Amino acid sequence: MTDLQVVQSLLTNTADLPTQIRASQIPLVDKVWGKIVDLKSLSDNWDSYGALKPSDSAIKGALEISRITLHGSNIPLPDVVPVPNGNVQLEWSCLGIYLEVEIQSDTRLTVSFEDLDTGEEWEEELRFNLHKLTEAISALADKNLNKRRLQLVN
Amino acid sequence: MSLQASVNFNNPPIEEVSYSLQFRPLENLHIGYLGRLWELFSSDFPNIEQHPRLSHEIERFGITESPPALQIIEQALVPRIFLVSDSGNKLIQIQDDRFIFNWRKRAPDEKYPRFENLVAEYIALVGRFEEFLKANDISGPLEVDQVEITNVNYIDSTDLKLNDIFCDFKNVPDQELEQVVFRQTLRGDDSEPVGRLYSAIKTGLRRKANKRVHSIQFTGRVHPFQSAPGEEMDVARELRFIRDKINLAFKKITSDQMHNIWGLEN
Repeated sequence: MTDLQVVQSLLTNTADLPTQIRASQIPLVDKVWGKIVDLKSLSDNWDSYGALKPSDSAIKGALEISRITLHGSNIPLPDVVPVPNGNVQLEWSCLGIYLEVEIQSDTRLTVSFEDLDTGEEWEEELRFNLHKLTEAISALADKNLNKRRLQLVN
Repeated sequence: MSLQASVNFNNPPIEEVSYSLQFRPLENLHIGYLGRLWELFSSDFPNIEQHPRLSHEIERFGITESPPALQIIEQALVPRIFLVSDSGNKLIQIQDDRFIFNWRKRAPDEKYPRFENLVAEYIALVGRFEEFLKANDISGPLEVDQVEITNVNYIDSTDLKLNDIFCDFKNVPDQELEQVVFRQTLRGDDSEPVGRLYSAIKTGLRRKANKRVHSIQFTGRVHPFQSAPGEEMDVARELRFIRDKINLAFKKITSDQMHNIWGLEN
């Protein structure tokens, strides 16, 4: 337990204290975690059209899914957006790839993928086997690496 | 999920077994409800203990090794409680994402009550737990994400060599073995991975009996076989699937000589 946590455990009103997360020591994951935790400040009706605030299970799910899938090299930073139904979405729209990961919980996510170069396109609900998601993220990372190599050459 | 013919022993060296359902955390299950759950189960489990929490474990596939699990601290965490029978041989463990039932051997001549009897007892306890959650508006049906069995077997090795007990241990010196660990993928009918089986063989001195023993511990963990939330789950079937995998692994790593002693059924 860190000093800060010890202090917090002695207080009776902790509602205004920030959520604490232990750093992953992986820069990309830490940046994504920061964006996900920011979503906790949203209230219901955040879009003025009756949207639900991100659910606890979606927030925790997004933290966990990013932890286990974003620790490779050359993965571009995703956008992290709230979905009106209370889910959280990680999305990439770059390098000719559209990848959206809508997270309901750490064991319920819907992934849609489109690669404009190859024409490959699919959408699937994933639960415990994340192979297709990690393949899609690898495709993004490979393209990002190639782009950097080309920039170096030029 | 079809099941292969079960491997059964009349007199297995089993010392403890636990059956666990892990589910999405019940955010409204605060500590006051744990006291009321003690009341609910107190006629059979009159004693209570508080223990450190278990982590939320998910068997995932298609990912490589990840950084350490993140820790989110937002509110006081509800502890894990043990509700223990008077004889101490049965207990329920409850925390906000687990409901576990253990049987443990307390007397040397105590017989293992058999899987089917213990599972029937466990399922009845889960039913009472779910009724309590519903009656108190804590949750609807549990959203189970992992089903788990752990069992521990002790084999007195005073007069036995490693090779008498285990297969394929011919080249391991008796006094040198400390631990052997296996991790296997469990697959369903469609060959898709459904979980994992962890097996650990350890050698040591059992203080209570002051005897040298080998322990064989199995933990089998699978995800629910149903596909949609709310779809009814057959807990007994999933537990039987895991039990059959454990028994098969137990048979495969142990010798014919020991199978005769433990009464392997044909």
